[in-house]
Amino acid sequence: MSNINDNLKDRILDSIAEGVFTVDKDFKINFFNKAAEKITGHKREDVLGKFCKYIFKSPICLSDCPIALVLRNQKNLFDYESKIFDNNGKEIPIKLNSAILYDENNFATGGIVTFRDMSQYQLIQNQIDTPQNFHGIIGHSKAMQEIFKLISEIATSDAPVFIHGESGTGKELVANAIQKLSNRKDKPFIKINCSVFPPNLLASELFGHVKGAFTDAIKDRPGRFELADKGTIFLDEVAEMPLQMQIQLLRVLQEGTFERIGESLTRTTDVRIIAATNINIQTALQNGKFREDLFYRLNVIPIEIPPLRERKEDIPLLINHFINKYSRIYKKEIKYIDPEALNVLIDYDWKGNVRELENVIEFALVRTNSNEQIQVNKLPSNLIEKNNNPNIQPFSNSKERTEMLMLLEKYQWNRSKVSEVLGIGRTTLWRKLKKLNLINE
Amino acid sequence: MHEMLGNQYFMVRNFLAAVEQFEIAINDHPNNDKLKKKLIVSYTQIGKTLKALDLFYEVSKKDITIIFNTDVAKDDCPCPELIPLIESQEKLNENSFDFYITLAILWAFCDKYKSYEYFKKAKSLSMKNEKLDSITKLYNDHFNRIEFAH
Repeated sequence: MSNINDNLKDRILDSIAEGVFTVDKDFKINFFNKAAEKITGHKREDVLGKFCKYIFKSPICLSDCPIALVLRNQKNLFDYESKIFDNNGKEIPIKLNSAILYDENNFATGGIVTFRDMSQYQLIQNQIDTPQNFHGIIGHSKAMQEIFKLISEIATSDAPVFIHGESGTGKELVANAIQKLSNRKDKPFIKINCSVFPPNLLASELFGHVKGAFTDAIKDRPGRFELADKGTIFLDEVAEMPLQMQIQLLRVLQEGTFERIGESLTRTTDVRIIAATNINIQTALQNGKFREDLFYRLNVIPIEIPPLRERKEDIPLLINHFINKYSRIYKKEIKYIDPEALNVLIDYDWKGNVRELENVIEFALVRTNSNEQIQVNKLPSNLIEKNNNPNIQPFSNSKERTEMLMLLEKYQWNRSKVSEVLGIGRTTLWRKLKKLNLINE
Repeated sequence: MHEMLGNQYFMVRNFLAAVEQFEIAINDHPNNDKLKKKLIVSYTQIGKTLKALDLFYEVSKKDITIIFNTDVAKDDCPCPELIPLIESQEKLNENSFDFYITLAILWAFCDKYKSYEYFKKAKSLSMKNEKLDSITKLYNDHFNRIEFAH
């Protein structure tokens, strides 16, 4: 069998949909296929012989050149996410593979990169992330929409974030969304709940230890701050941290330095800190349980997640979301909730917030037969009992309330549309919603 | 591999890492002048001026036009970016041998006459430096050859 000639090889490479280019050992482009022309907008004759950094203008050319990564690690890259800029300066998300080309003496003579344009894929991804579902956080209330906007605005900065919210409001989801949208999204994301470790163990978890530092330290172990280097660390329930450790945390924030327990060597770390608490931080500051200087360092970007009882308009949306989720998990065809059951859920005060609501829906869905609606009698007894309690005011205008809820859901809580459909003014609608206990404004 | 990785570091102006790779690569390719030229520039940027001067002399002795015939754009030579930054610090570095040597070497890749001037300044600060004497002689011989050709 004869070998294929260079001309045929070029034609083969020109026929594939992936962009392909090769560079010589000086990083000058010496091959550029048709798909690469199409994706980047550069003509082959304009790029041949030019340094690749001047063509692709990607930030990774300076920090993590894919060919240099292969040279350094001696491992080819597959599906590496990156960005390049096209001929018009437009940013293009890409996924690339890269490898080194060697001569017969096994000396590196160049590199090859193949890449795919991921713009369309990202477009679809953005469509899945509806305005009501922001990276897994559900809500169309004004308060939640403002939080989504804030997260989008601040995610790419490295400033510390302090999330406050009652238990079950979704603090970790907010942290996840920030990390996912940040420039550090491909770097380590380390989470630690500061309340679950006794003080001596927490120090070891955060800063690491060396062998013999304490009885159980049988070998050197890096801490979470070391593991999170160049990435993000999420310190949940940070206010539970002992005061002594708060000083150490403050030092990490100010200088980026720390020592492993039992070691005098000072180490550095470059981490973005996202902290969260569910306690009243002002009280903790007044009682001296949380250092003021640390609080101001952490609280550069404060995010306050409202409790569910203060954003009741999100309850139907959350219920739908959890019904869909658990229908898939339990393989049941359940799509709706009975209006009476919905009323019960809306009137409940949700001390455990979204997490409690999720548990309630899972519980009720498990008890409901496939193809049926979730009925009120399938809800946990404590919710129904509370509803039957004579001390609690019965629902007034139950039918009107249910109809109003349906209408609001139909128009995705767009009050202008609902008032238009009902033929009433927005203020009248607002009064009605207030009377029906459907809003808390 | 080391030459190519060194080239990448050189391209992104990470001279410290580039030196590390080039020093290994030069063992595999002792006659690679292109590599040596990059190593000379990199040495000047990490404070190893005398090493830069030694290697500069080694290449110049072989053929001084290897240095002078550098194409700034085609060779991605960083000298045009580096020279203004260094020259702006002249007041702080008056009478500094390293300062004049660094500029003499960098200018050699762009303008041999300016380079010669800086070598002369460096020479005036150094009581006796055989290498500098030899380098200026190489320059003079080269200039004479050009004049003769004209």
